Amino acid sequence: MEKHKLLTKQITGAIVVLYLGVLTMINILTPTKPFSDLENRRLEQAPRFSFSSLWAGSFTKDFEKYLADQFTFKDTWIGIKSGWEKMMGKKEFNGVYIGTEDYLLQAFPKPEASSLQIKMEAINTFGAATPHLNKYFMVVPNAVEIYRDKLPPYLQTEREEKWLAKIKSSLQQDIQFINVYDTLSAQKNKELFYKTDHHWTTQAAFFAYQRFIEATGGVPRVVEDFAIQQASNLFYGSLYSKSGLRNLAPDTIQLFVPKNKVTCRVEYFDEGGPGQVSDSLYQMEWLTKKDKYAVFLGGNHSLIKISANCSGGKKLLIIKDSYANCFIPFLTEHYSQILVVDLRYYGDILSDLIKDNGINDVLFLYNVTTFFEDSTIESILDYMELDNEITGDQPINYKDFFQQDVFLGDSITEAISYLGLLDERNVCATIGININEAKAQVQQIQIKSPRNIYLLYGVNDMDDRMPSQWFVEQYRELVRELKQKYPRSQIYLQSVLPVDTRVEQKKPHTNNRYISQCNDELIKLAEEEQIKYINLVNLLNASNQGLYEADGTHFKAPFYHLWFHYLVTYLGSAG
Amino acid sequence: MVFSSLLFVFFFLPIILGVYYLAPKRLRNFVLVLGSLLFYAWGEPVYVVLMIFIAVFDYVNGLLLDKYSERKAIRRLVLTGSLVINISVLSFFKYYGFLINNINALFDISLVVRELPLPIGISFYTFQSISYIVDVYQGKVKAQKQFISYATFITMFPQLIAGPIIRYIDISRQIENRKESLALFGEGAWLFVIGLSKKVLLANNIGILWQSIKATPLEEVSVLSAWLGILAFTFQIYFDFSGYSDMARGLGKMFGFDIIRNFNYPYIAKSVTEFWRRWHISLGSWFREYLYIPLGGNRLGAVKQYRNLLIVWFLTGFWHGASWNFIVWGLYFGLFVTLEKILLLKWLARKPVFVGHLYTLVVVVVGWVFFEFTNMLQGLRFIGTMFGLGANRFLDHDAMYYLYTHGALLVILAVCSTPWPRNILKRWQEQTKLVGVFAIPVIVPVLLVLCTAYLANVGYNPFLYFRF
Repeated sequence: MEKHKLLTKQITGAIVVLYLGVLTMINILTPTKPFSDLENRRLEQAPRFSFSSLWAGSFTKDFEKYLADQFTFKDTWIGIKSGWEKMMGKKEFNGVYIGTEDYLLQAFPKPEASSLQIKMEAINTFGAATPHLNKYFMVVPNAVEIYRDKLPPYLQTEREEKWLAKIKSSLQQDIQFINVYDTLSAQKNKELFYKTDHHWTTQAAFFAYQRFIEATGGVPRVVEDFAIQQASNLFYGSLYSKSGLRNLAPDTIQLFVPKNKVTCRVEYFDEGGPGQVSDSLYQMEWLTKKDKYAVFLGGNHSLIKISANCSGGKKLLIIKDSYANCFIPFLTEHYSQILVVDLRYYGDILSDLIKDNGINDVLFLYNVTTFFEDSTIESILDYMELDNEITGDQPINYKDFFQQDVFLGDSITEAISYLGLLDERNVCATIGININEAKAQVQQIQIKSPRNIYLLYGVNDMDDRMPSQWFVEQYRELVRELKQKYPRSQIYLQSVLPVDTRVEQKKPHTNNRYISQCNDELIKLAEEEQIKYINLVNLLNASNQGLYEADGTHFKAPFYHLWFHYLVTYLGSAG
Repeated sequence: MVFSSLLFVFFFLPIILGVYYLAPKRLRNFVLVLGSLLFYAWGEPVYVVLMIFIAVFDYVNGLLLDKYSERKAIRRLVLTGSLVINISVLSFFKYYGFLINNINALFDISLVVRELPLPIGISFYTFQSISYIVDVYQGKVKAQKQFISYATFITMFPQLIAGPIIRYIDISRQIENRKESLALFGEGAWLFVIGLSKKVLLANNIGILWQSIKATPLEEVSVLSAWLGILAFTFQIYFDFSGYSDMARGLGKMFGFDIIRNFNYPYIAKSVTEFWRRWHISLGSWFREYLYIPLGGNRLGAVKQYRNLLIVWFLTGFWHGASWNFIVWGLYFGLFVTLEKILLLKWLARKPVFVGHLYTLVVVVVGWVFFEFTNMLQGLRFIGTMFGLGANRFLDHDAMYYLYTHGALLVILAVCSTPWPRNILKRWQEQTKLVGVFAIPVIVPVLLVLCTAYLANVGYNPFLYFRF
């Protein structure tokens, strides 16, 4: 008896030693990976050791991130966890519900009423400014609404239908609302949404296309006019990644190829300028990669110009999110030119685009979730050169405006020159810098005697285990050093930018409560040091999570336009 | 550093184990101390200095007590000095802000509070230091002459940040002379895996349920949801804390130590008195040994006994956190324990067993509301909702959804709160040879794989007892 017990203990000990030892060794020996396809983000690399980073606590934090990001067989572990939880009866995985027939349905977060109001005002003003255009507005409900009978029992979710009705009722008469909710509801026994992806299927886009063409007074094609091809039957989409669920059947991507062939020319423009030109609306090479939905127009681009040889010769501008990508191919038989603008990436002037290309129709096409999450729609007027009676804004050349100024900061500031808003000489920024290291930057300023100095730090310091006083005192030293070296410069202290609320859930020590505490103390610091404080926090309200990069602490290009627009306004009003 | 992290399980632990077992016996305590300091300093490099100070301070005090074994006055001075410093350090870092806030509220003034982060584990290592000095003073144990040996006791990483509170007297011989073996290691590994699973697989998961119910505005919480929520918390805090204690004991054994049990199935208690004999045992016995008995315990008549009980339960609550709700929580239990001493226990003895179980569970579960809501008004409103005093519906779709999605987990939690699984395992081991030998070696890798899967999904991993 006792002998058996001893044996059990010895075997157990050996198993645990083996398990820990082998996994640890594999982890140490596996080479560091730079990128994760599945998570679609850069992975943390081994941090460089320094005593200052150790003291500030950033080394240990980065090392833990590195260990977590590079952990071996990560995908397998994620699959095991979600599989186990599914077995235990769990129905919600990272904001994704698992419904009947293994349908993955993304939860619709309840929008802010104020966000709706701001967006609708922007769109209605756009409408008023473009009286000569026919304007259509299509907001597509998501699977969670159309397929709500597939949701787990008893689950109470926010109804998208309610918000669609609100959008419709606050839209000016001049803009025609296209009700695809009814269209899709009537067809809900068909495959309208992918099981593993948040997009609608080509089938659903086809129904919406018919509805849209009818609304424009045209005659849509019928299903018999198309040869339906299966482009891929191995598609695992975004919800597959997001939920972490594995062992699901893959989706099929269909292409509706018109039997009556239309020739077209597709030109892509991205932030760097004009790119690829093609004679097809499909980029088949994406079918071999992870993101197979990008077969439609190669994913999102800031601008796509599609010319088609069809009769009629009407010209259409689409302002859209990725739901439009599989919808647009249907339109080539109805419009001789289609311009596709994605405001999340677009940086030029829309009114010029409309004028120069002789646009007749404008279609807004968003899915409900993106419509509420993406704040770039709110700033659509910034892309318009409108008559003075409407806004009075003139486009500003930031390079001229900030010619004698310098921006000091971390990676957030660094992107200013990267995005071409300012020249490199006006930006003095170091990626990953902590506030206590910022004093070194004072020596690196290239402008001889800057008129204004703008400070923005904090992205690498926000950890509520550190006392906020520490951050503020380090900041004070920086300010004093600057004052000493540049006594005649005006220093502007910009608030620490809040993080995406989704980061707070993942990293509880990086939270907006702590950030706002730091900002309160920075306001005091600015008073004490007699410098100006610029509050940027209001640029980032709950409705514009779309401005954040995937990491939830950095920002996409549109944020920089908002920010600079705000700075110029602020400086103008402050005299 | 917390145990339930990739960093600990797949980096720190294998390395320290390797170094420890490669080192010659006489250096092993040194390896442990060094490893423990690294473990502590990982997230909080500054406060390691404070811990080293306390260790050196009471080491010297021990030497002084030893040297002046005949000089009563000096001995008393050393004891008083040690107590004052230990309690002052604890009070300053843990209770200073609370004190100033209360003075401000009382006198309507505004003294500035410098909010300091609480040094991890301070409530544990100061209590351990006190137990050492008091025991040496009373001559129950000899003072430790080797600093490294004493530092091993104070800094030992398995129990450093969340207990159990070890008494030097219990462990002094093991520090000098302990026998590591594969069998003892295996016993420890089993405990560690069980503890890790309790924390990672059970506590964290049911914690999500409580978080979502707690985040719902109280007007929208149905009676059933409120009960489900606080039950979820009841399970969360037990599996979290006892899981941590199991891991501590397990790690201790892996390094050849025998650390005391801190939990003994508290939720099967038949009275509140019994509950406290099963919950956080090391804290209860510390208070009994170093506070209740020195105050006179029950030997000085009824009035003094009640005074002593009041002090002990006040401090038991206060120890859990610098906030009024913890004090109320402690006194609440003090009240029931006192009532039981007077008459309740006798009354319960005449009733069927389930009455005692039910009564204890209700008292404990309602107690967790006080514990969890720092804002006591909100806590009282929550209790009101539980007992149908609000305008809330009894049952709604949310409650049904919670039951539907967490029902299986709740059943597992309930079963694991009792000794059943352990007893079944024991019976297997005694009855059949093959199953008996291989049951645990089969369960361990399964649990390890599941735990690894959760750890690799870093995210929701707050540690409830971290700030105590």
